[in-house]
Parts: sequence; structure tokens; C-alpha cells
Amino acid sequence: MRALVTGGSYGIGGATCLRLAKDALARGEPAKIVLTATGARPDLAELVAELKALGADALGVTGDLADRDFPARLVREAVTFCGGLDALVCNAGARYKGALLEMPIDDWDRVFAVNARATWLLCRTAHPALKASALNKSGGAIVVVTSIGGIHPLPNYGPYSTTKAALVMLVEQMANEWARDGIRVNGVAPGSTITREKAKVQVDAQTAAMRAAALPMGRVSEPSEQAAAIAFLLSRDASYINGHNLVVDGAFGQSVMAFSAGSHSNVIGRK
Amino acid sequence: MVTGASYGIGGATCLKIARDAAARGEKAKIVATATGRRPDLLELIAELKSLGADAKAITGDLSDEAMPKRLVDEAVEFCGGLDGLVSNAAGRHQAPLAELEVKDWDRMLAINVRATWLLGKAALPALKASQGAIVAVTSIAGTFPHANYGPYSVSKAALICLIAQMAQEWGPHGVRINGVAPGITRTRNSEVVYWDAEVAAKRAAVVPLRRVAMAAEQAAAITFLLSKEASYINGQNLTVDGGFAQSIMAFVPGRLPPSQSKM
Repeated sequence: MRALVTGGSYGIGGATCLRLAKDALARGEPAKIVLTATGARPDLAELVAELKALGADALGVTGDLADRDFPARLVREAVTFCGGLDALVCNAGARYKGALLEMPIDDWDRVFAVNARATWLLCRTAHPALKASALNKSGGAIVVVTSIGGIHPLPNYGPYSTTKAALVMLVEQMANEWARDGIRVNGVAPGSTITREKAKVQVDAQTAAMRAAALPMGRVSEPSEQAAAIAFLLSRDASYINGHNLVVDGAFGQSVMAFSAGSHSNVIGRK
Repeated sequence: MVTGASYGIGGATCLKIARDAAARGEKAKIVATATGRRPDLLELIAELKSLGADAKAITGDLSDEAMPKRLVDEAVEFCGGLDGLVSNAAGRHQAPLAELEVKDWDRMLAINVRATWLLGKAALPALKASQGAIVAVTSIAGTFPHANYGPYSVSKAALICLIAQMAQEWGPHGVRINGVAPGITRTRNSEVVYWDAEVAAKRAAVVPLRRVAMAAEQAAAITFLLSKEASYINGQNLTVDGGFAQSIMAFVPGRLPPSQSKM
């Protein structure tokens, strides 16, 4: 398994790196993983060390995906390090807090550049290497981490939801354009997921409990559960799945009717 | 328990469950159901047993409102509980809506929607006990209507919402419910279509992946959703169509088809 994973911190990206490495090594195959982050947090070096301890070849690369040259440079580094590429996981995403009324245009552009344009550029640069991969018998696979925010708008998070909606369509369009090359492109849309970064923030037990209670399954997801969906979509078991945005949210995105005051579904569903 | 177990998606799912269990060193217990009009079911049971599974066939008509519970009760007894329910059986009907008879509408909705609700309802206590999962086989026709197939698409659209509703109501009990929406899939039932090489080539050509699906590829998606790997996936309808349902713009004459992109 030769993979490039963006957004390599201890969240969905990190869990995906560990999962892909463990699966490959368990099959007796080498695992070569390139992971990338902005370098603002110490997670990347720690993850690379953990991957190496498992027996994987791992390389951490830092850079800013909003930079229009970085995606191509990153993919070329990954292809050189891994000797090709079987899988690309576009997980890095920029968040933004702010109302649409007040947001500066530069911020809008930046979130779009990281969340949508970088994914297109990463995938486009990786296309020849993925086409040459034998992961799916012929051709490799791409998984893009979208968000249920791409289906349900997230007010006051700037253009986050809008970029994710664009990303869902980009997944579909790449799937249509590259299917003939044997490259499958799918999305995973996480719901609430507890990452290391969020775990630090969610110290308030009462808030955490209220958040869990609002979810149909009564709990937020673990990054490993998102990684399992990503690993499945990259695998041969998903050989006919193409252009799909797989929602991994424990049915939260469909539960809006339970929030109407006095609704009977509210009474039954949330015990 | 798998309904609609002929040598199509249902049969492939049974075989995959049996093989996966054997590979883990476990013994699968599988109850497969069908109407009993074709010999496939018994042939399938023999094959499942040869793979080391305990397997039992039950026949019955799912449009009968008492049948779903009877099937589930038998399955729970045979298996000593239940970890997974695959509601795969479906009725087909060819008729334009302008000429469709009410009895045919009712029968299709009874098999394709009501039976899945009743199967799930009957299986819920056993699935709660095992923290198990349900997968219902839907169709891309539940999102895009299939003209002249009676209420087939309408029933599948209803089924997709039923899955979402069961997920809301039963998720709090730890039971997950999801759908798999197959695209064009080669099964023993549809095999005759592919005997005409020209038709087979045309069918493959309209799919972005340039081939129709094998039943085993649908089974792989179903068993994934049943497994612990999908532990936070609930209420979803996973499309397994090679990108076909999203490709409508490629059929507009005069547009650049995907095969002419420059990369």
C-alpha cells in the first residue's frame, strides 16, 4: 500500500494512516505512507514515529495547501518516496468561524483554496500514478473527506459548508472523468468525531454529554470509525463503488425532525 | 438471515458471509429465504454447507403480511439469535403507470416496503440482544425513476426513507440500519440479457467504470455495512453503481463525453 494522506494529525487523517499501515502489514505487504500537515501542531512527527514503529515507511511533509503550487509538489514527493501511488486520501480541510455578513473575501478564497481547489490539484497530479497502480486490479483509488456540513449548512462557519458541497460534486465529477482509467473516487462525510484537538477543547463534561445525547446513536464517532470507512472505500471490496459520498454520522444528518419542539419522534428517539 | 436468496445479490451475500466466517475460523449460521419457485435456493444451501456453514432454506411469499415474522422467528430459532438481517427480496413488475392495476401496485409495495418493516420489527429483539445490523437492498431506481416498471421506483424510494426512519428509531438501541443501492448488476436472473453480446457491450459502455457489476461486489458492500467496520454508519443508502446514476450529463448529445478528456 503506497498512500498519501493529507491532514496528518491525530484525528481522521492520523487514524487513516495507522489503519492503512496496519492492514497492509497484516497482509504481509509493505506500507509506504506519506502524510502532510501545516506543521502548526506536533502531531505529524509523532505520527510518523508511530507509523515507523509499526514497520511502515513513513514521511511527513509540511506545507500550506492554500498555496497553488504545493499540492503538485507534495504529490511528486509522495510518488518519489513511495515509488508510485495506490491511494490518495484528501483529508485536510480548513475550518473558519465567522458570519457570511462580515467575512473578508480573502478568507472566503483561502477556505475554498484548501478545501476544494487543493483536492482537485492533488488528485489531478496523482492521476498518472493512480492510473498505473494495481490496487483495484487496474487503477488506484481516491477518498476525499467531505462532511455532513456539505449536505446541511453550518451557519457562522464562513464558507465551510459551501466548500464541502463543492467538494462532494468534485468527487462525483472526478469519478465520472476518471472511471475509464480504473481510478475510483469516493467521499466519506463524517459527522461529529472526537479528534485529539477537539478532546482538548471538550473538557466540559456536561457539554459533551449534551452533544452525545443529541445524536441518534447516543455518542460521537471515533476517528478509527471514519478511517474504517475510508479503508473500505479504498479496498477491492469497494470495486464497484464510484462517485459516492458515504455518510458516517450515526444517522445524525437525518434526524432534524426530532428537534421540532413537541415532536413525537423527539420523545421516542432520544431516550 | 437473507431474503431473496437466489444466485443473485442475495445468494452472493450468503456465500460471502459463509466464506468470511470460515476465514475467521467461525461457523456461519445462515437462513436463506425465497419464494421457492426456482431451484436456486436448494442449490445455494448445498453450496453454503460445503463451505462449512449451517444453512437452512425457508420458502414463503413476503407479500403475505404474516410471513415476515414467521420467517424471522424460524431464523432466530435455527441460528439461536440473529446478528444480521439482509432484506434483499423484491418484486418486479413491468407496466406503465397509465395501465397499472391497483392489485399490482399493492403487491409491489407489500413486498418491497412493508415486508422490510415487518422483517425488521420482528427481528428487533434479537438484533438488540446482539447489537446487530440490518441492510436492505434498495436500488438506484429509488432515486431516479424507472419508467414503465410500475411502482418499482416508488417502492424503492419509500424503502430508502424507511431505512432512515428505522435508523432514527432503532439507533438508540444500538441496532444500525443501512441500504445498498445496486446499479446494473449481472445475476443469474438477468444473465439472459448478456447472452446478446451487442446488448452486453452497450450496457457496459453506459457505465463510467465501463462494466456492469458482479453480484459479489454488491455482497461486499452489504457485508461491510453489516460488520463492525461500519459501526458509526447508520441510516445511509450506499450506492454501488460504478458512477452510473451520476452520469446523466454524459448522455446529452453534443457534450464532450468522459472518454474524450485530454488527460
